[in-house]
Amino acid sequence: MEPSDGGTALQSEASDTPDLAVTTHGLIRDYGHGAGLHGIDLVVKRNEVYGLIGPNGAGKTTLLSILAGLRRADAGRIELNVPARRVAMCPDTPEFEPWLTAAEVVRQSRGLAAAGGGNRSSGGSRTPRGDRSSGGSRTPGGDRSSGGGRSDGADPVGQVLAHVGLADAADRRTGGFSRGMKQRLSLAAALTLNPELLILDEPSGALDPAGRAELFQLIAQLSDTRTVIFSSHILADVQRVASSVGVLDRGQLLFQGPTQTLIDSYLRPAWNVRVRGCADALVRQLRDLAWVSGVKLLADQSVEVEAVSADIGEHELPRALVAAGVGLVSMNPVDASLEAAFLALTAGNAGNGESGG
Amino acid sequence: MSPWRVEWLRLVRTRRLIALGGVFVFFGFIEPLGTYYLPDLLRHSAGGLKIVIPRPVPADGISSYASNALLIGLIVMVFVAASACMVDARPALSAFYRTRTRDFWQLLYPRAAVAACAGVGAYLLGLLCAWYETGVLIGAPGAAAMAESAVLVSVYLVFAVAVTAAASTLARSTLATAIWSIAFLLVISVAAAVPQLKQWLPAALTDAPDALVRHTAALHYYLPAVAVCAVGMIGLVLAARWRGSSREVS
Repeated sequence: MEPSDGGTALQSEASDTPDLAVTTHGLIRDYGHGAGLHGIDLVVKRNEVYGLIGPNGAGKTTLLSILAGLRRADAGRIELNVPARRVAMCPDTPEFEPWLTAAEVVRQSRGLAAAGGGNRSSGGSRTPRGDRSSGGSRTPGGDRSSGGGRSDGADPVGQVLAHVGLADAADRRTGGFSRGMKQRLSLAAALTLNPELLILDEPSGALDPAGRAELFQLIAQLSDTRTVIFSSHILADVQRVASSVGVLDRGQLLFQGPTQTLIDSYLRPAWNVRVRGCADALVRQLRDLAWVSGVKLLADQSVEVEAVSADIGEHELPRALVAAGVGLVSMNPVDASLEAAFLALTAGNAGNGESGG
Repeated sequence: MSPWRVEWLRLVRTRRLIALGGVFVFFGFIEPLGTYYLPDLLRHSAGGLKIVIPRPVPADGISSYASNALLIGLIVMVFVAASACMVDARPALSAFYRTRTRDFWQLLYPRAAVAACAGVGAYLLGLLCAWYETGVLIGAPGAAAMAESAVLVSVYLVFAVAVTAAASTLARSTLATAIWSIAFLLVISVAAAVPQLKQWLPAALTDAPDALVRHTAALHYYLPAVAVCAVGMIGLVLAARWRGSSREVS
């Protein structure tokens, strides 16, 4: 089941394309019994927020771990067009030395990167064994500035902790931190490295709604200057900040492309119409129209209209409303959400998988 | 914050330094005391039996310290080293470290070095205590022999940390790392019972305090074991580096 419009990008673009931050070619990691990744061609543009979604066991963490160099692929190739030292990853359940304070963890992150020369896996292209070839362009500059990319002379550690809302906990040992606090600290420890590519595995899994909102606002800001790849189960968050999305299921990339394209591709040709005046009369009139495949009056006195196709509905429904002479209060597509599209896409794949044995 | 400072904080804040120092200092004070009062203790507990025990000599106090320190103290040191060197015990923490360094060696080296320094330092501190108390109660052992034995045992302790560092790249938990390390050290101690092998095995160095202070062996007797230790440490470190670098974070 593929969307019709420009969504699939399973054939990745040329590796030397400078506006691409990450590309993978036929990435395979087989754990046996169908688990793992089975030929992933990921394409992530520079300075975009890329949301990776998929059910449990789809292979999201494996894919992100391979990109971060923590696991190896059995086959395929990865090209990271970002400098070494400028890739950072936040795992879904971060852990730190419990006897260090939050500020010390950030300082430790900086110290490790300074001593170790940055991420072992980033920059250039990698083969499954992790060897680095000469391919892949490098971004000029790569100097590490102070926390969160600032360099105005203020304490960079305090700045980056304040940035993630942990200023008050800077001198507390992390052993007593909640999972949400650890996720914030993980982000601070990553941001202090001023990464060009930030990989976040379920970054909001343990955050409260306010924390989630702050996090995704921060991610949206980050996309001005860096590339962010993140996985999440909370599809509303993905829809809010991700400009591109990849749908992973059973180790295969079912869709990759603009988030809106995915939503539009799996949009039901149905609208929820709220009118001023007699909704019953409108329902009766709509039932008589040939292009209307279904119409019903909902409990809140709004009308759900389903057309034979999205294109016909988009043109004919406004005409029908004008003809009926009702006042239009609102008209919204039904299930115009990433969640609905995701469910439609993965449900189709599940069906295919079953039929295919 | 440098990795060296982190390792120092690991020792101090987790109280592992106190545990390590405490064990060696405890034996440093208790063993010469026990050696000095052993004849009296046996006499009081013998009932009607007449027990003849030679008067303790300085070597007895030092030998008693070394044998206990290199048993209980070594086990504590291996656990301290294992807990430091076990980079991959917790996958999320391992991800934090491994995504910030290019080379696994940069993670392992400070951990093993600080653990080795702490172990050697604790042994030497205990030895100083044992030397002082032996000198007060029994008589002063020779300074040259003490210095030589201190160097040889220190080499053995560093070798034990190298074994632990290598084991940490094979095992998946701190306990398993410590058990593998202690088992390996035990095997080479047992192997040292074979006369033809004894002079060549690192375990021979654990006999050095007794033999050197009693003047039953000279320093050059232990040079083959020191050489084997040096070669073994290089091999273990290279193996740990290779194995740790090729390991995945699960």
